[in-house]
Amino acid sequence: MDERIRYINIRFISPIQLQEKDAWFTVSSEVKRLFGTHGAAEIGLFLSYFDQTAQGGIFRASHKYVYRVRSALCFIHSRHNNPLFLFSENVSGSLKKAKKLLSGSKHLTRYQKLRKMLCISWEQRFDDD
Amino acid sequence: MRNLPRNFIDSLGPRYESYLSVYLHTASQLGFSEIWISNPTEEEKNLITQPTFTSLIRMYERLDIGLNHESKAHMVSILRHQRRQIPIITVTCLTPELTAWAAQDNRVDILTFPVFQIGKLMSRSIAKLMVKFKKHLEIQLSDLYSLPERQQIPALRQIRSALEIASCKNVPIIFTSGSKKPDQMRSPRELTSLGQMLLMSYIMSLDSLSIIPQQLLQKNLLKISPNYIAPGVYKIPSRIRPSITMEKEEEE
Repeated sequence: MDERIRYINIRFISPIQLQEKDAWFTVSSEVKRLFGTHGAAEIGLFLSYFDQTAQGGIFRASHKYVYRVRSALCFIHSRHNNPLFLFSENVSGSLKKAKKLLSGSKHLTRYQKLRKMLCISWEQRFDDD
Repeated sequence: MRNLPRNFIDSLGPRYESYLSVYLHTASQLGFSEIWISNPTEEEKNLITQPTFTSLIRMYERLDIGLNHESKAHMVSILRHQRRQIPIITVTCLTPELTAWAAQDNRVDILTFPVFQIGKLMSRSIAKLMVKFKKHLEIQLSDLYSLPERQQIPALRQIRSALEIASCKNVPIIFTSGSKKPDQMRSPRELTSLGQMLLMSYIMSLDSLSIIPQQLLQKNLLKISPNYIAPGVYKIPSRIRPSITMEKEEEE
């Protein structure tokens, strides 16, 4: 069966603003660590689009291995000693729709609420330390 | 045809931080519709009955025993007191003797294992006992993804071997995050993908996060309800017949 492409919307929550290259290196290095070079090549991961204000990226992957990208996200906790929380919002078949969903008000509200909650817990932990 | 939306269930482990509301809001935003809270304190019990939280997410109490290396006698005494009060009872099995006892005790619903011993303790004979006595195997995935990099390799191997035995013997599997901090929580789709990576199929993995824990909870809620008499025997609450109510309305 032919390989088809899927676009995965991934949101980044961190106390600091992440750049495009940070987003790419965080996800790709974790995928490579977990599945190796061969596995990463099978996935065909590529950062198609990154919205810095919304802190969301659209990653391209093969439709057979979307679960590998999503499972790699579970293993990411920090970037440069800063806590980092990643979650995939949705999977789409076209880049246009993925961009539309990334900037959609419903998803942005959810991202802001999650960010607020996680920042409370990180602040509390810093206070405890 | 599109699949119907699923109700995902997560379970919180022993919490280091006192902000239960942060956990609940995070879980609700991530897409969980139910959450099991293990060994809640009195303060937390009061909090979860508040309408602000009950409207957000459905919460159920869960009893976790064996976490603090309790003796078997102590565990039995806890079970005697708490039975028919809490819907979900879980035992963390640390020794083979304890595992064999927990797999056969009718009061216990779920068996969970430390991540580095699961491969050793979850043997074929234990799996057979679990099937016979209708026990569920719980895999707390935060134990895997929160580990340091070097320890993830043996942990992954141990979990895989346990899941292989469980799926071979048809032991019902439950995947939860078992998170101790809010940032250890993961969305249901990511936990499903991780479950799919750990040997299982996509549908089986989805069921382990939604249908299997839901069925167990519903069965146990029925058991602890006042209408329960004996296995298979329930009191049916009396209902007003619709024809009578319609007649009354017409008279008025």
